[in-house]
Amino acid sequence: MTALRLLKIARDLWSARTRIAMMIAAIAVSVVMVTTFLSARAIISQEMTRNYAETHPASATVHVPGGVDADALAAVRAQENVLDATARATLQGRIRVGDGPWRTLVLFVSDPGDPQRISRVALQEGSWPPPEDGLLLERTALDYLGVPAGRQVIVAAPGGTPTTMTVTGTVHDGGVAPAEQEQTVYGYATTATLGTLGAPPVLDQIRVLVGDSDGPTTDAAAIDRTAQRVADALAARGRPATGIDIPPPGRHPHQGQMVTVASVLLAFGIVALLLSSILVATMLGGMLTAQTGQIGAMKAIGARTGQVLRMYLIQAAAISVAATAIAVPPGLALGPLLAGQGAELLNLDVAGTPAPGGVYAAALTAGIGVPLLVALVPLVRSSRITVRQAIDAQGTGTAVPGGRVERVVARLRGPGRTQLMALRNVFRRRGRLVLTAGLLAVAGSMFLTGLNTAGGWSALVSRSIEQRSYDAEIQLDQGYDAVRLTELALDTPGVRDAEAWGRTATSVHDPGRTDVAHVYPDEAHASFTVLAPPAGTRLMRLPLTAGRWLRPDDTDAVVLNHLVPAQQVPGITVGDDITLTVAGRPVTRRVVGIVSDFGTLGTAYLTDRDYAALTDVPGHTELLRVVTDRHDPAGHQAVLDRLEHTLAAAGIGIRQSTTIDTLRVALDGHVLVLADALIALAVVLGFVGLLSLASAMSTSVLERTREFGVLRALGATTTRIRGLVITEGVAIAILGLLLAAAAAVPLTRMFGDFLGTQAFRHTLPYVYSLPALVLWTLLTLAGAAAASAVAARRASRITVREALTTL
Amino acid sequence: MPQVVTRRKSPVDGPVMSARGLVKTYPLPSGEVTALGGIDLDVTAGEFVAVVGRSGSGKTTLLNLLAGIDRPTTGEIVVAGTSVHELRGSRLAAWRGRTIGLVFQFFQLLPTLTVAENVMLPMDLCATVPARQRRSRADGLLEQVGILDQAGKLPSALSGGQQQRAAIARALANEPPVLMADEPTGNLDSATSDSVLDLFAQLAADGRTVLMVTHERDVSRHATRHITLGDGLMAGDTAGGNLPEGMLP
Repeated sequence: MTALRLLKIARDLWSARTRIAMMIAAIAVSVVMVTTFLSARAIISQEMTRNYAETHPASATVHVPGGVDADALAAVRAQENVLDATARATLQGRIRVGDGPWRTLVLFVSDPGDPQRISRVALQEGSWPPPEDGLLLERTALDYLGVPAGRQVIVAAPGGTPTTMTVTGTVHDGGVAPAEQEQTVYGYATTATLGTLGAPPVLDQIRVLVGDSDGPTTDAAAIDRTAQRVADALAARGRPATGIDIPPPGRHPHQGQMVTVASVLLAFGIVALLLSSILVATMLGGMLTAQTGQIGAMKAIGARTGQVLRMYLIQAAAISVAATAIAVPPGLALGPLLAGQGAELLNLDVAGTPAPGGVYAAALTAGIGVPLLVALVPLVRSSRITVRQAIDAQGTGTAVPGGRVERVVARLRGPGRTQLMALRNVFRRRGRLVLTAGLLAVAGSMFLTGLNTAGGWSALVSRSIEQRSYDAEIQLDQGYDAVRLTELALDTPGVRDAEAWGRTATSVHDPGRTDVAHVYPDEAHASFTVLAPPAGTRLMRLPLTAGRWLRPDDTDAVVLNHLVPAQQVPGITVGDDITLTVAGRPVTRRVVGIVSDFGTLGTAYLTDRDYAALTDVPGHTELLRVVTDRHDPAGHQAVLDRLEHTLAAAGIGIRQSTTIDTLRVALDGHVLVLADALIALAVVLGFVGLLSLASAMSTSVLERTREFGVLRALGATTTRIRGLVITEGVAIAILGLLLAAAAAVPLTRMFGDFLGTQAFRHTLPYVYSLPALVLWTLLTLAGAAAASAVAARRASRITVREALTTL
Repeated sequence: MPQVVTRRKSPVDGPVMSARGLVKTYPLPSGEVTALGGIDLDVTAGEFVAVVGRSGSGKTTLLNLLAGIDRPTTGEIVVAGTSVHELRGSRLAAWRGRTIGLVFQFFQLLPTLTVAENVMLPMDLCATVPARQRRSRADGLLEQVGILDQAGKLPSALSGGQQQRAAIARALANEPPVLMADEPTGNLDSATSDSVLDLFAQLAADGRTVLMVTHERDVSRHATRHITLGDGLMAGDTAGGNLPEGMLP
């Protein structure tokens, strides 16, 4: 490229600096988004893996009631592919500060002499092991409980007496989510503490690390084989295992949600980048159309198509390089900040690791390559224009094509002459109209889809809460007589209704093998439970997605919630048989229905009659659900406290107690990050959409300089020309708005299905947010008027002389 | 020191431009329209040919065909020894840049380049003159057309006549044997028109072939030959500085 041509390029860029600045801004905003998301996604993915790996998570946990001795443990370690093994226990209890509300406590217990090579945590404050009347808490629990280290808390083991203990320090456990999000406190203590709590000091879990000389494996089948061998070896030593937990190898409990969020963010970023690139291509196309005369002149004096193309490619490259240069540094700076926010939500430590080199390459490719690639279409088209075509294009613009639409528009009557002319102008450049209205439609539909999806999340949480008519539930330490439980509850002041449900942990039984559950050590994520509501329960009504609900006389039927076909028995459906281990024995039932049950864990519903027959003591239940006469969280908690007191006085041990509000907070904690991210992205896409309209109007005016000059020569006033341009802009915006509103319907459904299934294995309820539509309508119309006004101002200033001498 | 433009000799023997059986039709929704119905034409070096005729007579179509801007429906065109109708794409562009100097009614100067840079552009695009000599050659051409003092200005700062002179200098940049002008005085006042036409006459006198399309009666007296078109056909071909009465456009 010669200096003279570079000079022309530079001066052309400078002469169109306002439009160039708009193009650079549009690309830069999108590249910032893409770079930020790419960088955050890369950092958080690697940090999630690193944090989780640093806990040295057990490949499998083998449950051995009564625990094992040192010889048995040595025998486990001697098994082929067992890299290491240790004995642990997990206690599900409760914790409170003073007379504050009880919170769920998951206490991870190990021997004081445990070398902490498996399922380990990073000590942050205090020392290990804690004293027998003390425990360490996961660092996020302190804020959740509102207690600093060194203070006392009250801890209750299932059925045990509440005991005052001291928080002697904190740890970071990279394998668990923040306490607030899970509404669960994670604690760490020794067998001595179990004794203090009145629980048997038995380590009844064998945590096994499976692998080979290369280290721990992520091969789930290999882990399963090894764990089964371990169970067999323990059985041979008189210590039969009751089950094996094998969490997804190497995957953090929230990895699925994280990957989904990151992918959605990135997808939105890429859509924004594509929109910006199309916008730039449109603007460049418009600029080139305005330069048709110049291209024709250059070709007339000997310029070849390749020479012209190279000149305009350099212009496009200059724009995308400038935008990328502006955008990548803040993107790379924002990435770690966003990753930090994500890390906080996931309880991860971000070690200040920079984004991997691939992120730089991807950001540069996206910022420079994508706009250039998209711009190539109008650049090639314009560069190939012949001198003859250039001369022909020197009139007052394109003639109105004689299509059906134009004939309809030509027959339009009613509005003023300016409005009529503007409407006809809208359809004059059909390609431009499709592109501009299309861009607005894409931006608008993504804006609406984002807000609709955010609304879908909220609706999902609300619906899940509404399906539960109870205000509080209490899990008991063992089975108690259902009638007595109900009477005690109904006698408690504030309790309006009560039901006693059967509840027990379960697992899928495979004959000849020890049951395997794909549950994490916190025994919450991916766990599997049997629930037996009383016939005709008033406290829960779940929507069926297939089959039917249980009938009171069903004894061989089971209804599964949606998580079971997704997690426990992939693909199981109505009509299939499922064999579960209930109360220690295998039970085969026919699946008669699948229910949508967001907000809980994998659950199999049996009739109370069937459950009574399966459990050791018929009529005994382990779960009490109550309706209170209060309708606020504090009221629910107050009644729950009274009920606990009543039960305790009656000698009934409590394992967990929660109000429905706790569930809502936990669910919100899981979905709000998604909803907030979607809203933020919708705003950015809306911005890009409005920018595209502004640029389209500006380009349209530029292209029609002569036309406005002619109008001026014919006596058109400034007001009339401005009215013409603004009416055009608003008409295009309305068209884009209608398209966006229509496109958002299927998009919301598709997006909700994808996002819900990926993140929580549950499709989102369809929500079309009217406030979002109103907001986008206002934004579009106001933006269109404002954007067109700028172009209209320029149009109204075009003089006859300027119009006729413009090349 | 501006470079002096030397008199150019025709690179070929015989006519510099030759057209045989030139037909151009345009398909329109209302039917095919014949712009040129069969033109035979020979133009020799040093001729200043004025192509005249009423609006729609086919004057500009003829110029476009001869300059390789448009393609004939049928017929052959040979300019400076090259069969123009056989050229395509980049070869045609390169040929035009070196062989034809084009001047338009609205000057068509690139607005973001100075006058001198506009003149240097054809040399740059066709690489006909070493880079270091382009500026002095441009200055020489601008001096020849009488606007050297405007060399550093942008076209918008020049009067119409000055812009047209700049366009002529640009057309001469690659020292083409043929200069073609489409209504070059259509946007100029009569005094400026006269000076531009004098310039064309001088260039023709120096041995360059000049073909000018015009519908203005007065301008044709500068030409050495008048070709009159009517309804796409040759209606007259006369030599001399004045158009016969019956041939007035």
